[in-house]
Amino acid sequence: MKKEPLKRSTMTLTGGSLLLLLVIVVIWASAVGAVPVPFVQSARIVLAKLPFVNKEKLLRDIPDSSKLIIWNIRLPRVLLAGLVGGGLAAAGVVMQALFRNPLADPQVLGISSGAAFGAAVAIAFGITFSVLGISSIWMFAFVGAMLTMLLVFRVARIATSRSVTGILLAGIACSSMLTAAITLLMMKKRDRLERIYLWMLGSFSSASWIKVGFMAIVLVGAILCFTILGRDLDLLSFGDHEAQSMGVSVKRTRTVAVVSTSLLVAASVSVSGIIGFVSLIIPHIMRLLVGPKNRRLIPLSLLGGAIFMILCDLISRTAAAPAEIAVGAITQVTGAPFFLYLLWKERRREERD
Amino acid sequence: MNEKSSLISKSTGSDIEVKNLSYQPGTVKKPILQDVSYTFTEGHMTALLGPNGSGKTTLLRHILAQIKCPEGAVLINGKDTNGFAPKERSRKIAWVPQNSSGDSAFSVEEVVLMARYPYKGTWDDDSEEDKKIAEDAMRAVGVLELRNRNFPSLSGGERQRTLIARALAQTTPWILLDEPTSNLDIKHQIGIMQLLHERVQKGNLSVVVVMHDFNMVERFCDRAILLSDGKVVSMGNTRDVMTREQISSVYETDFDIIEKDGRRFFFPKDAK
Repeated sequence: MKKEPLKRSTMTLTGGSLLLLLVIVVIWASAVGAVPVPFVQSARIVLAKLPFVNKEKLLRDIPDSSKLIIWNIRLPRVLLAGLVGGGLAAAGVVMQALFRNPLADPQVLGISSGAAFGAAVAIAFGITFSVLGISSIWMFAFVGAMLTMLLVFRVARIATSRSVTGILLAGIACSSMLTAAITLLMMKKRDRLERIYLWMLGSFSSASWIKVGFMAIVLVGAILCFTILGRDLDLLSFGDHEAQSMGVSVKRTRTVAVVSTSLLVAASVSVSGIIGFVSLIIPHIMRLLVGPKNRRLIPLSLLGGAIFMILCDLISRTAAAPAEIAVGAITQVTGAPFFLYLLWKERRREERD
Repeated sequence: MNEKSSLISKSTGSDIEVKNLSYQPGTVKKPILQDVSYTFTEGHMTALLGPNGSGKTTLLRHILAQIKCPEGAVLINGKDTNGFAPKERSRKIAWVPQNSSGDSAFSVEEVVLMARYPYKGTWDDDSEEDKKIAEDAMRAVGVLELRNRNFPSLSGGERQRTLIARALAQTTPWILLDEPTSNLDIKHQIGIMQLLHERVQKGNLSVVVVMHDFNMVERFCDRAILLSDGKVVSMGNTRDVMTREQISSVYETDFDIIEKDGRRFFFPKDAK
């Protein structure tokens, strides 16, 4: 199993190509839809919004309707999908490092359900206020996500920390419990059923620039935390004791990681509902490309997750147009078999050891 | 196994003082450590002896602050081990666990470079000096040619040597090792012990090592502590600790001791 040491240039090349691909995908996804807009026009409309460009020249002889469709409807949706996808993938990297488990994923471990439950409580009981523009629904989602994460973490550690199955069982139990609780809430508050149900599905159809801005702010903060923790998480793959003996503040690292991933997952769930498996597939692929170093995995997964989610959302709104398929369903269809494959691989590895 | 200057610790070592340490977790009927006191003085290679379950590893874990001392204290240079920030402590003491739980596909070189963590700020990359130190450490234990291999794909002995390289690359005045030679072939057993011994002789390092091989202890360790059921049975110079009477009674095994060229050789006979 010899492998060449990974050169810095490999990393730059992978990162560069993903970034380029992301830009192309953003423009392409904005161009495709019920009213098709040529790719070049779409690019010009998107570019025109950047600072320091000559808008008049760029937007000459593009119909207003195209500008409106792209700028007001498609672009926020595409960007939101990108931000959520990238965020979930990066959160997946951190969760897998934190739980020391390649199968850790916000949906599999029930963290997304926790967020959705928090949000459902807020909706069902009509708790709607906002502090500094942050809605109560998101705050409830955050608390739900974090409590679930702590619970799963506790239970998994009791049930022998090194076993892959222990943590999955804990996650499955939490997830079904929370889903059942959400169903109960929906039964009790039938008048709010539809609003809650939307959360469970996962969709970007309600995208807006406000949501894009909110998601972007949370994402930047979380990614900053993740990157700061990158090296600590590398060392933590050797377990708490070894990490500590090499100088890692295990408690601090874990607290920052739990809080920042919970914030990010809660934000994602609150703008788009539960979307699973992105956090599983993308980090795994990136790990194959650039190895296990978290400081490399985090930015690359961010880009990869964004591309993947934009494409999934594109399928969701065009495959059965004018109807929409929930984007969550599409990520599930691709993600679930992949999850089974990883589980199978993990079992084989355990048997070998 | 040649000496390389880059591996010498920068800070001076100091004593590790274990004071009246007792430890009995709630779930256990018998105390694991009972009023253990000992001062590990710098400049020595101290063997930690005792049968399975006598408290050797637990003692190491207290020194490393992996367990909080409910009674008693461990002082490093006069300061409680729990009072250190992890980075600060890890610049004083490196640890070689018996088994590593690392299972991520980091390369051997990446694993050894991790030991430079306590000397780096959040945004610092591995410096040329770090790389030189890691390379010297890998060369010292003979894993340099494995530097690009995945750590989980290594054999038990290769892993163990990688962990020792990692501890060396931490350039600490103290290294604590938990049965470091248990997976090694005889060449590497002697090699590792010689390497540590040389460094101690030169005054660059102080070592605490959990060992079951009396002949190795006799040859390389000048100090020893003998633990039994969490109590110190004997401590001091290796020769005074490893007497036939004490070893035989604590390990519940009869021994023959043969002297040759001023060294004693221990041959186990029958278990009692």
